[in-house]
Amino acid sequence: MGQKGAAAGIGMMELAKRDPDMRVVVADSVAIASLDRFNNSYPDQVVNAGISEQSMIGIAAGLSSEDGRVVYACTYAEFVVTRALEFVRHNLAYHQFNVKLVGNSAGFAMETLSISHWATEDIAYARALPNLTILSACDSLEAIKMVMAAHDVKGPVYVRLSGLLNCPIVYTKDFNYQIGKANVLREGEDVTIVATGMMVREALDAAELLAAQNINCSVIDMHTIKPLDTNCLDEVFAKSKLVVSVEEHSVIGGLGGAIAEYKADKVHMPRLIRMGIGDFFCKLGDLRYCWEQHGLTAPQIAGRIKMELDK
Amino acid sequence: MNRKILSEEEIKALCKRMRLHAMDMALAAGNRGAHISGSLSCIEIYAVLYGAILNYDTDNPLWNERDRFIAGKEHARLAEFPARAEMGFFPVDVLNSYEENDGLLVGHQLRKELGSEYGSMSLGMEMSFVVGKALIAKQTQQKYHVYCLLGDAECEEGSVWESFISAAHYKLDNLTVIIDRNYMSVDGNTEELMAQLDMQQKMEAFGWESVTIDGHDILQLIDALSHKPEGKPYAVIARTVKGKGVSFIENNKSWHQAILSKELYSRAVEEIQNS
Repeated sequence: MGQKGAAAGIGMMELAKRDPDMRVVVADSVAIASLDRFNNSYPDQVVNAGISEQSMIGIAAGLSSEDGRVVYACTYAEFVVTRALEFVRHNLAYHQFNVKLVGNSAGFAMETLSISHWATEDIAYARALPNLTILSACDSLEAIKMVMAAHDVKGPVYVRLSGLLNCPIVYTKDFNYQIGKANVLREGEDVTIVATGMMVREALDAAELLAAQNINCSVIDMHTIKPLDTNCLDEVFAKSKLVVSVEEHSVIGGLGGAIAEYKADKVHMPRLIRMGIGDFFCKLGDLRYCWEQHGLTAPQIAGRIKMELDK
Repeated sequence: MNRKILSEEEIKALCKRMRLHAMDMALAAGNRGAHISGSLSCIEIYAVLYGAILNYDTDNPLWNERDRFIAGKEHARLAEFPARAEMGFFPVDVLNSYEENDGLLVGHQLRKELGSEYGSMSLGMEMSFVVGKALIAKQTQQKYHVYCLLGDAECEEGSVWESFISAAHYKLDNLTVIIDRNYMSVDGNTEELMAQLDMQQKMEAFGWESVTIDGHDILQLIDALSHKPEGKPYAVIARTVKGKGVSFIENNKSWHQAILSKELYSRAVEEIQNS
């Protein structure tokens, strides 16, 4: 069912049962955000703002403003962050109303609907805002846990969902999800790959390819972009001679940017290679076609890492 | 109503005191300048709201049944703050510190204990917040009314119209918007710059009930703001003069944000006192 189907169809359904005060605001995006079942089950808890993403955010803030109840605002990642950015800055970052943004189809997931519906710089915008927790799911199970964990955060959150309907699995068994605590999925002493979102699966696959060439990688699911798990990063910097960040987001200002900022004033740091979407708009097409143009498929990631190690 | 309602004469006297406070605040702001003319156009609106219309209790500013007023055109603090100070939300002598570092009144702060329900900041931002607030009030069967003041030029921001559409769609008849129709923005006359045309017609076309009144006429304001249509939100288009009450400021675009010299301060105060 993909990340958004899982988050809406399982996570939010469970939350609505536990919290009847909760509200979900959409921008003509009930179907888009996979909230049909939710809307049918809890119609009184849904508010449709129409195709008006800016006022959607203001409405979400207003709904929460009296008693601080949890309000989710759900639509495409690009619209919930970028189109409504000033409203997010003002109502969430500044006033800190208890609004949780859930942006679906981040990265290139909208494929040939192309640029208008791709979210490729959203983390960069969101990261610069104070008081906003930023979460990025790597598979459907994590998406469910993430959207539920967001409910209990005291303050605004941005949950970034990505991938297609057949979103590859990273977590095959239940696991402990904790905001701000990265998950180490694989250990290896040569390289540490810090990945998020869809790139976690690609990073794991790249690690397999590299293992066959005797290059051993650690792979970390950095699901919380803000606040970064700096304890985890400190350990990574201490142990690794090469750190690679991988994300379905611009190399400017996303996870890689956050890690680069964190390590900038420290001494004896390993190299950091930031892999992600380059500073250009690629040719339009499907998900893998776009990934290929930016070097984000597992073989390409493995190839780049080998090249960097050989330098 | 949980408090004393002022008479027409008392409200007129309140307006005079508010205009004098506005001049004091402008003088205190010194070289930072103050948003003088846009404040002067809505003095009567604020005086009537806090003098006769809004239900509140200054001994218990967080009283849950209070009416909610959200200030749009938030630069008009030289009207907003004097109204609240005069009606007892905070001491009058706090007013002149409104531009001071980390002051109670500086910037756009949400301070319910001082009567501020939102920090509106960027123009037009508050309108969707107001819709959300009115909507949750309806959904939770609250009896209070929600009011919002907007500037006419502020309505050039598109998100305001998104909110007008949704307010009518959700039949928010617990919502009254007052538009300070002073026909001016920073660069000059609205109809020359970006014509807003007939705002009452627009509001009606958007599914609201609406009326146009003289925004400096106390009785017309009381009458309009007391009206609560059923099933529709209500828009009061208050025709005003930007800079009203000080002759050299009226309709003069230089006074949107300006420095009030000691000399002009004295002239303004004299005019207000003799009015």
